[in-house]
Amino acid sequence: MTRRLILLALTLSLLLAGCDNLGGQPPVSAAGNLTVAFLDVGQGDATLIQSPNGQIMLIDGGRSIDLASQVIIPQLMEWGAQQIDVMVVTHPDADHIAGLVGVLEQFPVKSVALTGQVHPTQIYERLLIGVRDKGINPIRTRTGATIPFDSAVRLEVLSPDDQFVDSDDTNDASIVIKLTYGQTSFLLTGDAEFPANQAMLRRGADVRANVLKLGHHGSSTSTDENWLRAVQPQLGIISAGAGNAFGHPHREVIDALDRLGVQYIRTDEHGTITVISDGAQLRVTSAR
Amino acid sequence: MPDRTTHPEEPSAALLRGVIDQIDSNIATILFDDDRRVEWPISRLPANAKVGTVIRVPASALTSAAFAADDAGAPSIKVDDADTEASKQRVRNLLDDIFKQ
Repeated sequence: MTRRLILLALTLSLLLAGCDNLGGQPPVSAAGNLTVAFLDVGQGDATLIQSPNGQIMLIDGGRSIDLASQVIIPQLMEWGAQQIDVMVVTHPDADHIAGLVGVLEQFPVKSVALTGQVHPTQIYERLLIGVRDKGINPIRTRTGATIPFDSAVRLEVLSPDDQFVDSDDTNDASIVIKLTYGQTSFLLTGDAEFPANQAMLRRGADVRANVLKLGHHGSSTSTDENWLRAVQPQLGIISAGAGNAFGHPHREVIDALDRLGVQYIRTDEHGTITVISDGAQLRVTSAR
Repeated sequence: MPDRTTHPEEPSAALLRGVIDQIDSNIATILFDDDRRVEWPISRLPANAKVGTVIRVPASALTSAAFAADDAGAPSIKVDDADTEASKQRVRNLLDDIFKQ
C-alpha cells in the first residue's frame, strides 16, 4: 500500500545506490536531463523521448491516427520540439503504428528505424507510403544496429534477429531498445514476448535496467518472474487501455511484480507517465 | 481521413475484407477496409487463419447480435490466400522502395 501511495503522490525519486553494476556508462551530459514520456494512448504504445541535448525520439504511436493530433504532437509542442530526429516503428501491429501515420503527415521526421517486416494491413502500407513519399531516411534495424541519437545517451538495439523478422509473428519481431544515461537505464521492449526475451538472454545481452516498459502491455506472454529477475527493474511501466479486450495487464504479471517487490505504474490508471533522469536519479510524474 | 486502399478484386459488397492484425489471449484483432476494428475469439475464425491473413467476412457478421447468434460462425468466414499473398507483395515492394532510397 505504501508503494501505491508513493506513486499516487506523483513524484518518486529512485535512489540508485547499488546500481554500479551497469558499467561503462556514457558520461552524464551537462546539457540536461533525459526525459521519457510513456504517453496515454489507451490500448497501445507511444513513448516520446527527449535527450539531454534536445534530440527527439518517438517510439510507436498508438492505435489510431487521431492520437497524433490529440496526444503526440501536443507533447512535442510542449517540449518545443521542431522535429522528430528518430521515429522507431517497433513492429507493424496497428496499436503501435496508427498514430505514427498521423505524425508523419503533420510533423517533420528526420529518420525512421524499422525492421522491414512484412505485414499486410492497410495502416502499415499507409505508414510505409508516407516514409517513402517523404523521403525519410530509413534505418533497417536488427540486433546490434546503430541508430544515430544524442551521444550523451547510449542506445543499444537488443532485438530482433532475422529469424523473428522473417516470420509472420509480429510481436517477437519488435525492436527492443536499451537507453542508458549515466547510471540510469530504460529497457523498451515493444511487444516482445518470451521467445524474443530468451533469444536476448541466450545471446548474453545485458538486459538489466532501472526502468522496464513491460512487453505487450503487461501480457503474461511477455513477463514472468524469470524475466523480471533478469532485468532487475526498480520500476515497471505498463502501457494499456482501461477495460481492454485482452485483459492487459494480466493478473499473473501483476502478481509477479508484487512478489519481487517491483514498483509499477500504469497508463490506464495514471495517464501519461514521465520519467526524468539526471543520470543518477529518476523522477517519475504522471498526469493523474 | 479514411484509411483506404483500392482493392479491385473485391468480390462482393456483402463480403468484407479484413486482415488479422494480431492475436493475443485467444483474441484476434481484425482490421477491415472501412476502418472498422473488431476483436473476436479466434475460435470464430477458420483454423488456418493467422496473423497477417486476409479474410472475407459476411457483413452480417459485424452486427454483434447476428454474430452472437451464429456462434459457429467460422464456416462463413473464409481465408483469402490469394489476397494475402498479393497484399504481402505490395508491402514487400514498398519496403524495397524505402530501403533502396
